[in-house]
Amino acid sequence: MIAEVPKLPVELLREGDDEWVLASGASFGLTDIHLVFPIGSSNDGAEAGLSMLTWEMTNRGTARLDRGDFAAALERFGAEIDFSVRRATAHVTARVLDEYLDPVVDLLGEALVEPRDAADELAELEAETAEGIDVSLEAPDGVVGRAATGTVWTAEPWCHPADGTGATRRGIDRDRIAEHRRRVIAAPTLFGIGSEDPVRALPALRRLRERVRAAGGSAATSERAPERRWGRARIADFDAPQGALLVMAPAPSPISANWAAAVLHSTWFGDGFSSPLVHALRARDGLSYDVSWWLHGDREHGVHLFRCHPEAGNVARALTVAESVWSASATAVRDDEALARAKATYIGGRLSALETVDRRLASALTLRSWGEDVSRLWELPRRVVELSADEVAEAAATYGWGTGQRALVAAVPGGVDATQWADVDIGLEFEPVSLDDVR
Amino acid sequence: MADGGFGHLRRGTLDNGLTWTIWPEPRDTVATVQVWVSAGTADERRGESGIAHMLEHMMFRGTRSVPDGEFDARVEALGLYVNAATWLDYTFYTATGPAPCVEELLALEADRFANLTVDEEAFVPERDVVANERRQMVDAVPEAALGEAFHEALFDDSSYCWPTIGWAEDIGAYSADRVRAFHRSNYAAGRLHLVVVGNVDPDAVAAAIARDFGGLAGGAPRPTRRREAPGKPRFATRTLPLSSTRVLAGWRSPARAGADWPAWVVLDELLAAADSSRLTRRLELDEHLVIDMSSVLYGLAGPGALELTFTLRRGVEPGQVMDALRDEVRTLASGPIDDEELAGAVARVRTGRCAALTDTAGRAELLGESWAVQGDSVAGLAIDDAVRRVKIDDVRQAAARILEAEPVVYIGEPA
Repeated sequence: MIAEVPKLPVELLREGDDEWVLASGASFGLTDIHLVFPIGSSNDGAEAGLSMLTWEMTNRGTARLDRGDFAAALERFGAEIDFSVRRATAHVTARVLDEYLDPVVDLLGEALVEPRDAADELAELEAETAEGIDVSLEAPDGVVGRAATGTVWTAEPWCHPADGTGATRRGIDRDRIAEHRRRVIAAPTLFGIGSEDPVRALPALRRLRERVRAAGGSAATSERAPERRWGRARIADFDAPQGALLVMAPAPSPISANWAAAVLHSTWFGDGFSSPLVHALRARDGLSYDVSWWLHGDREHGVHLFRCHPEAGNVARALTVAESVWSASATAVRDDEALARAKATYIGGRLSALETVDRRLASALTLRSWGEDVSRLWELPRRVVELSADEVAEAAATYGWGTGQRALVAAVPGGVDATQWADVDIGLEFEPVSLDDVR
Repeated sequence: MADGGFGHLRRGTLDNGLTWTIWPEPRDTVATVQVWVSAGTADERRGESGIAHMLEHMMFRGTRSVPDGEFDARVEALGLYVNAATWLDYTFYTATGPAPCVEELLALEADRFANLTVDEEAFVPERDVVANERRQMVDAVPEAALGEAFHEALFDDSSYCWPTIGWAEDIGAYSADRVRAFHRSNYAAGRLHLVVVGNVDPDAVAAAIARDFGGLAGGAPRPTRRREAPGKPRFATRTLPLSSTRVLAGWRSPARAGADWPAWVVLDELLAAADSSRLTRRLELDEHLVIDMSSVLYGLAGPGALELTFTLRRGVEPGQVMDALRDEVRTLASGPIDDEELAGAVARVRTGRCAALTDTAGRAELLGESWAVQGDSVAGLAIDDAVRRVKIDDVRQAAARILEAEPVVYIGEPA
């Protein structure tokens, strides 16, 4: 019998125009705070990296405290704070021992509304970013990761990694960062609290909300994603004993009606050691230790991703094995036992993904950032379990490799000229990509 | 669950020597089962480096009653996420999923400990997978190759000195026979500890453990760990395809069960574990000499190590980093340490411990690892109490030991 995702202790509390997402449960003395701003790196325009720099600088001191003193002030309380940015959103999270909530929330507010934004600190950050990118490019996986977005998007800033390039970051100064931050924090912000008793944290968070609201400028609005381009194969010449391969294909958006079926097919096909893809590439052929197959998306669109790391001369072979397993999947998915197993795997995965207060809070806020109700956390799994084999088989034709559209990035010795491509017709247009293209 | 209040834990021992710990928690929505084996890299023989890890892989590849592929299919049909890991002192197998599946999972686990076959047909491709894993994690990552050589020198007098994944030439020479032999010698009941955490009935789980694992052979005592001949160079420089210079520096530290272990935990917090730690603040935040740095304090059954890794900014010489490191350790050994700094260290350790408890797998791992390296599954739950009792003089003594000892320092220079 397949388990259920129960109705979870996650609720929305509305106070006038303000909304709070509250997640309660066993927290072992910790309170988690999440802020989600609806403006991400997709708003960077020609200045790819602007959002990343902005949020990094937010963690580098306040008007009152330099970077070191700010870190010491937080760590005196054992607090952990993180500032990060995704395509459509920016995230501020804090994890704090319950008894230190008030002073840590005050420090967080200080960082958001009175950041130091020191010019010398920005110069150091730019240098660290450039050198850090070079470090990431020491392994083939780093090249593939950085080349991915430019493979399916042509418009800026989407065609660059979220941290941009040296060229796109040039000219971003502290005034530009301060202006960007003011506009972001003025946008309607989601606040979430995770704790044994999240209501207890409301007074401190209300103060934070008012402080952020008072400091913001005219709100930024989020940018829509451009159209994606499929059919390219970008291949880097990278001399290492292990290669890297990433294949992308279109998928429905997570809020679309097709998402449930796409998720279940994806789970059946590539999630777990007994799935056809992982079994073929790993257990049967020993081609790759690491085989990843997953769906990702936001409000506007989804993408399907496949990643593996075969021996350097076996990347083309791994791709052909994966695609041949996909070709056989339209029939194979009608196996009731395998489909039941996929449903159980999916539910088990959701139970784990929603196991802790912090994870529930993050998932609930993601749904709210898409305008969806938090009940989707337990209602979507119910929908997945009810799907028939016919519905799943139909989904296979409408997402991922079933659409006939895909793009790939690989890193192998010899690049596009590597002999391993000679006997493989992958139906894609080859082009070389160099480390300088993604630096 | 109040801080320090763990009286609801249940613990037991079977007649064959297998021990267990159950942590029932009605508010959990899932349960985790872990089987810990007190056998890891340190129990391997020369020429068979990494065989403990190879066995970990083969534990998923078939038994006399559950053919290859069936274990994965059955656990996935139960909605369980499974994984395993090998380390220096232990190997553990973990599964998380719906609590009603626990008893069926325990039966499957007992079967693979009692009836593992290691058939050639499954062994050969799985050995390729392990070779792939080594290539991906080590051979294709220049810093990792430096780290292996450093680790070998840092632990050169100890059975901890070689890599858990194994040297490439040893991986290529593994045989199914040798993997079975390692299983027979090391996976006996007396070397196992079961941990079950989550929304479970402790009486029912205890009964299932006794039923499923009670027939497992007790086994011989743990073989004596091999002795190594020290003599690896304590300093080395290698030219590698790196973009930035790396410096790895390390000293031996007490065993996790040692009385002075908590002082080393505090020392690590004050020196390098946090952004505001003295060395991190100096090198990364104030003087901008490193892009990144990290510290690892190895908590092992035997003497461990404190290992620091630095990624240098361009134009910075390794000597600048080592001078700063020695300065800060010297100051910790003989200069002022105020109560606020100590309080911050205690708070960070406590946040870390609380965070580990928030999911069932984290709780299970805390219990299992404590058993594996300290001989007591609840020892790790008291770490923040132990850290709270550390005095400034204890930290100074730990710092003084670092100053007295010659460090191992390995440097990777860009080609």
